[in-house]
Amino acid sequence: MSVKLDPVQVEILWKRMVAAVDEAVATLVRVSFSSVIRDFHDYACAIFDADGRLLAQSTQSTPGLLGVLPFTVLNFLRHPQAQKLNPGDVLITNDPWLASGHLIDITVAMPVFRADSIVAYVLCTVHHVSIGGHVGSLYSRDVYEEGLRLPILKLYEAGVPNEAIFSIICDNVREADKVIGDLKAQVSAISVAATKVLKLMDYGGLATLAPLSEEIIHRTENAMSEALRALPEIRSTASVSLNGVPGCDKPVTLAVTVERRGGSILLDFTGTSEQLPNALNVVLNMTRSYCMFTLKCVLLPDVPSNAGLLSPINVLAPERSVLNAQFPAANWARSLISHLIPELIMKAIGDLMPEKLIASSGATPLCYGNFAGQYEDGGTFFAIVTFNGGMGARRTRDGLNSITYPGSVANIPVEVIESESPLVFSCKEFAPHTAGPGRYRGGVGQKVVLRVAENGRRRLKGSIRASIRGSRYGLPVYGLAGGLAAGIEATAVFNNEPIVLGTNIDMVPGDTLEILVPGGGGYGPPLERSREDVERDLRDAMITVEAAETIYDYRRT
Amino acid sequence: MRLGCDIGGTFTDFVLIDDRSGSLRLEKVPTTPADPELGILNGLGLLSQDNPDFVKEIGVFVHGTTLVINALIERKGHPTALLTTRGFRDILEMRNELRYDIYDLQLEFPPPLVPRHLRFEVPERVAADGSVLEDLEEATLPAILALLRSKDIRTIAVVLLHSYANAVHEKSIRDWFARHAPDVSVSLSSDVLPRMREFGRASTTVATAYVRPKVEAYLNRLQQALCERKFCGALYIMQSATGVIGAEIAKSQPARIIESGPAAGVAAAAWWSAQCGLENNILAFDMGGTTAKLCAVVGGKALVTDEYEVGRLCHSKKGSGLQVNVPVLDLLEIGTGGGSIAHVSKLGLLKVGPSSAGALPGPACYGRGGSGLTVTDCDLLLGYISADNFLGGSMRLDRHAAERAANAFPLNMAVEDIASGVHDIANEDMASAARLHLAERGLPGENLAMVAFGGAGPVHAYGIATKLGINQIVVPPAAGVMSALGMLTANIAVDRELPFKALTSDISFELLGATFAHLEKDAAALLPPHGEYRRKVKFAANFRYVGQGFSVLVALTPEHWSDKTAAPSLRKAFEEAYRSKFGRLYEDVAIEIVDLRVTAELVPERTFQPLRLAKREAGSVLDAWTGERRIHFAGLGFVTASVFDRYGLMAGDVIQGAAIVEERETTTVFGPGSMLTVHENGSLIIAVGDRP
Repeated sequence: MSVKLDPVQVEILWKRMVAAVDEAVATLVRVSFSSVIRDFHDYACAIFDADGRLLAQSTQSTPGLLGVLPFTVLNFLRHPQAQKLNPGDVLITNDPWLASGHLIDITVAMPVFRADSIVAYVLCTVHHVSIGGHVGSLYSRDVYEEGLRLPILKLYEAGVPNEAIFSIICDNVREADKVIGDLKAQVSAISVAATKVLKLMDYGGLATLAPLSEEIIHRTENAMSEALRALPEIRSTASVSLNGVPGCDKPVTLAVTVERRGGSILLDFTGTSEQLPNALNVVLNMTRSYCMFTLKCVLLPDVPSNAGLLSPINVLAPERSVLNAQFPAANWARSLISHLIPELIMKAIGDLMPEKLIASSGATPLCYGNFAGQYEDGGTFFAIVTFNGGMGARRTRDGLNSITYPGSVANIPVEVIESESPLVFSCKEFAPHTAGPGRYRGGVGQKVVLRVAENGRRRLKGSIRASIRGSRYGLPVYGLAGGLAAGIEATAVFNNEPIVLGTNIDMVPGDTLEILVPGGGGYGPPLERSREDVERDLRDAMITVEAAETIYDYRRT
Repeated sequence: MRLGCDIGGTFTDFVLIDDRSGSLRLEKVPTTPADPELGILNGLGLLSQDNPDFVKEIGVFVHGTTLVINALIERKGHPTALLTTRGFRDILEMRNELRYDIYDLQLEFPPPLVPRHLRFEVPERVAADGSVLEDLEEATLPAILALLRSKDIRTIAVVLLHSYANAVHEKSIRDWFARHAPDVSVSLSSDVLPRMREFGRASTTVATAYVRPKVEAYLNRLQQALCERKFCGALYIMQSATGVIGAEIAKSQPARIIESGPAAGVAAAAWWSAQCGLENNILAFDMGGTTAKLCAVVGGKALVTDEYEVGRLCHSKKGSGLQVNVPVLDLLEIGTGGGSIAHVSKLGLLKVGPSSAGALPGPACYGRGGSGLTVTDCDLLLGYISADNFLGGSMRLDRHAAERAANAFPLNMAVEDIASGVHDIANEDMASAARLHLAERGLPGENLAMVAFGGAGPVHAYGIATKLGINQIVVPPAAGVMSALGMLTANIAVDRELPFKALTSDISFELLGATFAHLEKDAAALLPPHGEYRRKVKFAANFRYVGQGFSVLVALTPEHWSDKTAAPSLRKAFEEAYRSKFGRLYEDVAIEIVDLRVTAELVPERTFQPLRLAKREAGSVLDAWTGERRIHFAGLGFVTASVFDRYGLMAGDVIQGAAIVEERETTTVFGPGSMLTVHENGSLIIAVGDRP
């Protein structure tokens, strides 16, 4: 009965499995409408075996979905709707606690049938353009304010669309065309994945995926455990405090204890503050994702994601804490907190493997703004502008300049934004001198100045509602191993007045907004920086002459 | 007479066609990397042995060169400066602000071709609609020029925001330099790539400026040398997409010839497929020592992309190279070649590559000191290639060295299982990459015919075709000079484009017609008529659903805009193209035009016929039989295959698999249940069948 696959067969079938999810993503991207899919890469496709164990996840997908999907699929399978599945059934939900942590992500999943039995499940999660509710606000008080919530339902029954669900979505979201178009693209994508799974089974002569999933999961699990065993057996803790979080008069603490036991690791977030009365809450699935992301980056970056990679990693976060927020906590702006998790974990394990870590990043958390408004001719616009700080320095190289981390979001070109909205940029440039010095310096941050055009061809109706977020709330961009911290906080200046990041502002023609995002922290003592590197930075005006003299002890000869 | 000449890394290849007699001559000389034109002159010397005056008789000389791509990869262009709108000099280095591998904390990007201290800002601003928000301050230019002089920089790229909509400031800068520093070569982004998206335009224009002096000097030297030999025909250069352009255009827009060799190879593959009367949907497959290249040809036309990168730090990772947005063949390059080394991963699985033994030390069986087990070693152990007949017998392969490498391989399996695993995994790597590439373009792999060339292409074609469900393989003759031949099959083409934003429901046909007419005039000016060619003009536009990211290039004709009742047909033209690509339509979404493109082409009046193989008058295919050997197929194990000498095959010969056909440059292999037919043009056509 049990087929034993050799290392060649496993390699070939596994490769096809990963190719299957990547082909599903190719379909998704090709037929999708929104730039969230195209440019933000905020999606994932995945294949699970008949027991719901993750076998493959698309290569190009956002880190925030890394640890979420295995739990999502189990939630589907436990649900009464899933107890009697037929070929052509498609399940849907966007419940933050059942799936990926905020309403705007919609997940669809379907069973893959071979003869009369289910051999696999395929799933696709996508960040949509709209789910109704408040537009991009930090201030929603509960999840009800954040839009439409879909419980686990059958979107298709035996291939027949459930029109009632489509109608409900259609009437509750902005830009319904795009949302429905992207939702259908998701269903096309999982259909492609399902077909490929069946083809793969034919090719490998497999009646069930079990022999292959055993190999995939155990080999990965062993590699992960081995990588963990190579670490010293240690229990270490770290915590950070955020000050000035909107709606909180007390500091918000994020704390972690990392404990390596044998071939597994426990990340325990006990000590973390209570959940918040606004949208910064993180659900447990999202906390898990950034734990998995961090350990994969540090330990096994080149092994494809599956259940085996995740099973040695145990995550514990106290219920009702900001990292395991409970219903009905608002969670739209969770990335402000969740993006700090990798840094927090690295801080805790820093002494174990400084060579694999990076210093803190000014790019964390993702800083971006939404600009929404209307023209007098009835047209509307919605522009997303990212402001990217620098990444922390590495042990043997400088940090990357102006880049998204740990999120994974492409910028939208200035020319595209200007042609689709009344915004005009005065500059988008490196912000030199914002990086932490070190033997290797952090990547430099970014400065963006933009304004609302005074004499645009189309006249604005009313003002533009702008919402900019991305503060570290006083958390320093620290250096590592003797490297120095980046000097500044992200700042926003509206018409020459500093504003608190996260505040919504109304902009009218002539108004200007200036955003400065810091660089990354340095690595190693600055005095050890090579003379050539200091000279190059001087030539490129990435550091000042004073900095060269005082921090790097550099004297022009 | 027409001459095609392709300069490759090792050899410079020539194909000479005499249109009057229909004769075809091939020649090969070693490449002379320092002065590539010397290799060309050596070749001309060889070709003129029978006919000392032949250079005079060449009407058309089409040339392909790796000069541009090598200059970019090896960073051997000229020090270049960049002039940008004030506030935007770092756009070039920021790229799209996305990490190409989200889990790799150590990743790097290739450094920009222009370092920050050579990126200068000028006060000026044009808005998205082309209106001038801030005049150009020419008074800042003398200080920049002084700095350029102090650093001896003589080539600059000018990339101003929204210059695709209004190039007035870019042109003023060019004119200013023409007046004050005529020796400085100025490349404008509005000439190189008049298209929205500042990073792609900047990266492409900078790459152009960086290689331009080198290409100019080289082509000038070549023209001079040809002139001295009484050449009075026209010199054309192969483009990276399809078609060839005049030498003068290549000098000012060198990025267009970046992939001229591979583009010509694919053109030849498509041409051979048509000569064989096959499907005009093909997958061109070229595999050599370090990489494999695949390119889909649909409806007889190679797929072209504007999203091209040079010198990726990681083959499979989009975003890890230098972005050059000129039309380039939509080529999939995979880091799998004959020299790829196998290893066992930390998960205990067999992997092939990415490290490669290259040509030196090369595979273990080359006996040059390589000890890693490579794909070529395994091909030898499995019987795919012969130790005695490699490169026509000029290089003996060391079978024992290959066995030693396999024996030393850290996996507890029999040598033949290891070798077949390596062969099969190499094929799977290429097939998987091809599947994804085709899926991203909405093409089903099964309907394509594969045209295989390159040293290892015909060795691995059968295995890959089986995996992709492809049932026809063509192995053209003269595979050693594919690119040089492809240059002569390509049309001479010039394309021009302009952004054009309008809803199909609300379009000014006068403006559409006028813009097309303007582009046509532009293109025609760059393409003077030529005796042996006739001119053809093609119109196309990129359309998209409003809000959707993908645009679809739709061929149009003047009827589409000549009268106002034409409005529905624009929508229809788009919908037909969209449906064939995506299989569905969106009835209630508006459609917009993104840009207009015009291609003017010169089509050769005469097409040449390849040499015809004679039909076998007497005897049988067994006359070409040279023996048999054991060969291993995954899932079948070793079987006995007949070996044939390609040079002994005649038109209409039929060979049942499993069999092997050997020729100097490569070996063609196919399995049981498949059948090979020799076409009268010399191509081998394999009908891939199910194994018994």
